[in-house]
Amino acid sequence: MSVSYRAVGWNRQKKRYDAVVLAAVALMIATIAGGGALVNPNATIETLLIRAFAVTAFLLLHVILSIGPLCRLDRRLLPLLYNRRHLGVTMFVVALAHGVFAIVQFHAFGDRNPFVSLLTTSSSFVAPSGFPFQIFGLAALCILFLMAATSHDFWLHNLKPVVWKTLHMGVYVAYGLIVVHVAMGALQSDRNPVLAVLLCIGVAWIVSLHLAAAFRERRVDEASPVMRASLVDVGAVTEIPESRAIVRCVGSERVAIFRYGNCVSAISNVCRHQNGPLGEGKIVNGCVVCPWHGYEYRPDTGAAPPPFTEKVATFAVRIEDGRVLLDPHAHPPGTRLDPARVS
Amino acid sequence: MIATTPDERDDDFYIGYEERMPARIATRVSIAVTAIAIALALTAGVVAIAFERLPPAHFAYGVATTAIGILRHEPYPTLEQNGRRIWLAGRGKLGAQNILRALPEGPVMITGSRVMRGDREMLEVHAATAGSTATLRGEIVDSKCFFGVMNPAQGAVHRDCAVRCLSGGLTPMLLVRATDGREQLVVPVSSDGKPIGRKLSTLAGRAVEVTGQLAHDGSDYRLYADATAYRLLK
Repeated sequence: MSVSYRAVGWNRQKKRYDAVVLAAVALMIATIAGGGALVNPNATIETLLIRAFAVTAFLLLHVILSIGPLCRLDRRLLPLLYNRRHLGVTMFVVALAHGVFAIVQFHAFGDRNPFVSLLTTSSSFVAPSGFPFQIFGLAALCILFLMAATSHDFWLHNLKPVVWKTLHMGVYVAYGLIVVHVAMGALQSDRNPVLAVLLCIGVAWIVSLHLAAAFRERRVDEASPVMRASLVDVGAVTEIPESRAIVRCVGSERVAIFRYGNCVSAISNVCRHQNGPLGEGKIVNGCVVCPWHGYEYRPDTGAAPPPFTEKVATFAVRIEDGRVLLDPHAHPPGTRLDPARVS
Repeated sequence: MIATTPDERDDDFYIGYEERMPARIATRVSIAVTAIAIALALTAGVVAIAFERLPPAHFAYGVATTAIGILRHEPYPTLEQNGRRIWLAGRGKLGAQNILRALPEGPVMITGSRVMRGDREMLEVHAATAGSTATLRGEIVDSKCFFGVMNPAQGAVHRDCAVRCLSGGLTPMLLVRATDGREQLVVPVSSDGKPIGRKLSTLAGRAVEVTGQLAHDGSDYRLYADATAYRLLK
């Protein structure tokens, strides 16, 4: 959390994260370019670099797309998500290097503007031999650029989380475009089935991981809370571990019901920062801490402690016969509601 | 109703801006990162090996070579050199036509970078100059004797030996004496760049005059003129 914008709010975890990412990128580029030079000594350095940047960026994209569902399936992996945007920007830079090298190699120094050449040279969507796979790569690169350029919290704040999140869901469109780019480009000129199998494994991995995470989420959302008059019975107070929450889907909204000491409070499950699941957070020093990036909210007001200004909706709760009853009507973000008391 | 109650086993809680992450989470993350790194390295290695093996080809980028020969414009620019064809290209993705357009077909000197695939050769043309018309006077000598097998290796006494040497296929040279007395050797070839030593053998050891296209390949002068262009002076 920060009350002012800085290029990067460095801390020890981010530095370690970035060091690992940069080491992995260097290792992959060295493996693909260096290994490629050893087994394929007639390949030119430009070819080796274009391949190395492409494969590295594509593999990093698989890692990026895997982190979300992996964290849904195992919350102990949340540290992988904490600095994911740096991983994303790194991936974009590597993909950009691939794009620049490819444009220079295949389209520059000719009789046309390289970008005109890129957009017009291949134009047959029917024949695989003339399929404009380059345009799919360029479109993906544009999406990745938008995401990298708006990755800073400045844009998150000014675009608002819903718009920002929607924009960044474009990574799945970019992934699809890149799959077409690879399948109709590199795999058409290099017919080694190993490469096609690897691509299929990658796609299957991403799809299956997301389906597994989606099924897990769906089990939560499909659960029907028990209605008592106008209140929702969300469960026994003993179900809620100390300083933790249970999450219930009430109407179309997920609500996180926290227990701390002998108090129970309910707030929206959606963090104002990046829509992180507050109900998977923990109360630390009297504040609910979002498990994604550490944004904090007071459980009784839904407001971040001063000087921070983020606020989430609050819900009234009361306890009867050891059961927690929730009023499903959300109060405006930041509205203080007395916690229910555990007798 | 299914709750997302936290598992008792993972009550450790990770906060990114704290100095250290809880030990059990750190262990889990270390295992995951190691697994991801191994998967990435293996995949990268497999991809590097899986790419198609490429045949030998070479582009001597940045290394300039000078070649002289006969320029042909049609159907595509080539340099004919002793019966060998060198394809000519421009820089980047451009043909050599723009650079060579002003030059007539015939002897030229071209500087450029070599491009080779198998026994095929190409020059990426950086600069090209046409041979200049020159009239030279001198004596045709055989190079082997002149370089040192015999000394002296010119003039009437050596003439018959020179005839035999050229008739036998040795490289002819035209020994030209400049006005300042310095000697200069010029390699005679036909107007289309082919060897003409045997045709010049009867003229060896005698003063001749010839007009042709003179070009320099960076180390030697080469004179493009057919054998019939050589005229005895005495």
